[in-house]
Amino acid sequence: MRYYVQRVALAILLLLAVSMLTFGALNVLGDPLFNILGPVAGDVNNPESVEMINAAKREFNLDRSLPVRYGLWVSDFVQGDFGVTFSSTGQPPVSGVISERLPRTITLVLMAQFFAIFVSIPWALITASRAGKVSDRISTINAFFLVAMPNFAIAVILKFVFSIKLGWMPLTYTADDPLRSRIFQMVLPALTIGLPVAAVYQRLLRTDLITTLQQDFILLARTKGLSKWRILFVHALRPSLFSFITVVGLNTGALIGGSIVSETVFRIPGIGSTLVESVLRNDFPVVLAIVMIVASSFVIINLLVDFAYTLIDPRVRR
Amino acid sequence: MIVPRTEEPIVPQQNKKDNSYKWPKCVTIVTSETALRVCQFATRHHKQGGNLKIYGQSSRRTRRILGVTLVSLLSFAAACGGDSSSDETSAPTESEAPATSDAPVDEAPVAGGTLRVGLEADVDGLDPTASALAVSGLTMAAAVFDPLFTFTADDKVVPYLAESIEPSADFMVWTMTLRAGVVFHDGEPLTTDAVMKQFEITRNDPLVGLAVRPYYPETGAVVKIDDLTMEFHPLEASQFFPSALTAQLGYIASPSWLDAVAADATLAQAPVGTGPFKFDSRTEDSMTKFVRNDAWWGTDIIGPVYLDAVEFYPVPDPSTRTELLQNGDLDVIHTTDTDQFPTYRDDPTLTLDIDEDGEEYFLMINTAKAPFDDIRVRQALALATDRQGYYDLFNAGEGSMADQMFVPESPFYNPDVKQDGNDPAAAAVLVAEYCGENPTAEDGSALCTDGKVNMEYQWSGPSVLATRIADFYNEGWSESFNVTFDEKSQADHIQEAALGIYNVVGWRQFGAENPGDDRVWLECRNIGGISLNWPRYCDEERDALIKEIANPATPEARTASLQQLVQNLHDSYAYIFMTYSSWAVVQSEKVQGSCDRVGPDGDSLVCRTNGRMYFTSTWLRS
Repeated sequence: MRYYVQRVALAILLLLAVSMLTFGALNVLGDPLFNILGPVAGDVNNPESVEMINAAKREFNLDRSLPVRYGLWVSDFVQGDFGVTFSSTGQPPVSGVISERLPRTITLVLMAQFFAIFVSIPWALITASRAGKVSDRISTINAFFLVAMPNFAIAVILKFVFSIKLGWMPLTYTADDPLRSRIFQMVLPALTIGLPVAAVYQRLLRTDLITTLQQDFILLARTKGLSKWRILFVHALRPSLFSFITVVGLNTGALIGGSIVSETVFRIPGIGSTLVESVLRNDFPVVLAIVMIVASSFVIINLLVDFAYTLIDPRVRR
Repeated sequence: MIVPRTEEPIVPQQNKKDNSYKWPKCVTIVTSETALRVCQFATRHHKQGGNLKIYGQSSRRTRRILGVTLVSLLSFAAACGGDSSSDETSAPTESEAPATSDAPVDEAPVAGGTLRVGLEADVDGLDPTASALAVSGLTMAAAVFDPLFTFTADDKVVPYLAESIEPSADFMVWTMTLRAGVVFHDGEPLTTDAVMKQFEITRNDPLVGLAVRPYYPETGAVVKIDDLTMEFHPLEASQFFPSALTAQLGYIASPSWLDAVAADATLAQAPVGTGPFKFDSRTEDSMTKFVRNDAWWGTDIIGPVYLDAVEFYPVPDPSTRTELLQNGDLDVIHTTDTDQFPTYRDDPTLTLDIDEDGEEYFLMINTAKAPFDDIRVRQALALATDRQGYYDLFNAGEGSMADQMFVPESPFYNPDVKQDGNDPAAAAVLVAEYCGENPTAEDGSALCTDGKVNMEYQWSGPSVLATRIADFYNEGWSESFNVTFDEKSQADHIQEAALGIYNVVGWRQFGAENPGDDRVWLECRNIGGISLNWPRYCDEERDALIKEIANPATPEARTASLQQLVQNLHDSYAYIFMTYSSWAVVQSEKVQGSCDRVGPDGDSLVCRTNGRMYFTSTWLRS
């Protein structure tokens, strides 16, 4: 019990630290009044403008000290109130923006994971069974190439080859198209995220497979006359998936952050592109909400994985 | 102890090809003791003859794998699943039988279809009283609003939503009559009250109101005569008054909608006007859709609207816009990216229409802030600018260099006015003279360092091209200027220009169909805390010229005044003209009739203005 309490307390502290840093940085570096009032925010010599400025400050608590504003924000956030966007054309609730855009990012991330898993597993199986051979070395080079290649470069190359030159895939995403079309439009963006991730998974799984393939029970399976592929799929793969599954789970949260480039290049209005736009616009509430959602996902998943470990191996608790 | 199944040893059958062994049953293993024990253990769980299923060392291992799998599944469950349902799109409305129009030979307009338009930017609102509408916003607004007046193809102003307008003899009172029977998309009638309400809301807006307040009295600016007739009482006489009501200031919105927007500004994204199309749906940064307004007043007077709907897609990157057009994902786009022009020309499926009579691109200087409050410094900057190099590098032969706010073909062009530039030696002389006086700013900081003037160049981004342009400018300026750079978001960039928080910016402006309407950017009365006179340059002589231009004695006098204005702009060195903006509208071959617009009295209307497009006469070839 003590272990669980400690882990939860640490998680909360971590989230508080992230929120404080983010809140402080945004409020110090920008002036939200420009977003809310436009040029009126700087027209300080005009009494009418000054009145509007003061009214906006009162409405959005901008006349209060930073710690007080932070406390108010935390209090609202834990109750699910993410505040309103700082925009001169109305202040719609941030929760509306997030709920509209988050599902697109989640879909993109899930598709990327799907590609990554279903590419990396057979890839790892093949290379592990040919460890040390020329094909394995070539595969290693390919994997490192994919890992080293920046996301935006992969996005541009995929777009150029498959959308522009070959015309096989759509160029951009249109939010109002039917679901099937939207899924199809997300294939290239998902590959952009999924290919480097597949390379990482492949390297991890390959290593575990090679270790597993050296076990005696595999030797037994071979001497029993089982086919190579049966040995790989049925006997070697499952015991090698432990680390793989752990990393896949933990990586899901990271991929949300990795969606920024993909969403920007392929014009998907998800939370990645929203984050970029909001930073440029000094729309603090939206930035804060997205940062905290991603950070919370990370922390919670980590927490659950840690708890699951204790169930699987109680030695971890000590 | 494990007992083998048979008493007799069973030897494996060896496959000589791959050296594997096939065991009919697991009894005797010859390779290792461990393998023997595993095999014997597994034999107990043997399900099929000749096939072993090894279930692992223990069930604990299985639990571990399942536990980790569960954790992984939880990670997926941490995110909300499912994509949001798309905004509902209305079904295409039934279209009437096509009427004859000025269609290509042997081809009558066809009703139906959805036109997909690629724009350079999205908008955050289409409220004509409050939104700062640029070319993208004005294009969208033209679909859903009707202007009170509009320009013909030969630059005359004719009534459109208004039925008529009559000036007084001294042009100080303008009596306007609205068209009867016009209703907004929400069913409200167009009346004098609606126009007057919108006028007051516009005048009170902190930003858009800057274009209205200086030109009207505090009270009595608009007087109601009856439900369809009103009088405008501007502060000064202007023979060209109606031209100010051909764009944003002339787009009339539903009063109920304006009330709703006042309560909830987010409704500015769902405009309600009288136009040929009405708002249907919108996904921000993705698509805005308008569907045909079957109750449009112009159907009987002007002609039918052929399109079922128009969809606007914001695509900021010009290359992507081109690709979408060529792929058939868009039907028409606009662009100022001259790099793409050869692509359009080479593509036989596209029609390219370039308008160079409009805006100019220039460097704009804040004349109210040191060091550029000194004309020597402004002149030095102009002389130090490599205009020819800029044109060669960034226009690549498209369009032409600009010396002033009119193209050479314009009757108002002043042939004596040439933009200074490409003379760094002369710039150095002026800078040396200025810096020799050891000037300081208000806060006491030096305005010169090492004999060069300190300045900041600002642009809107993020933009790789704009950054490259800034580097290019610096190559020419660095001999006489110490340049710092500041890239801002577009909103901040415009706001800081409006507030005068800049030294030098790149800007695009002028090109109004009625050149007198550019007065809002030039007059002393438009300088304030927030200033539409962006350079904050006040010149009484210029103001007097602008007054003469608005109310000339003769057309020749107007031409002369405009040419003097051009000279005045040059002499102020508040602008360093670089190029004429080449606005291209590119459409696929299936788009027809876009320039067949006619007015209520049958006049042929302008079909493109600085990248803006209109859709009342457009139809799609099937």
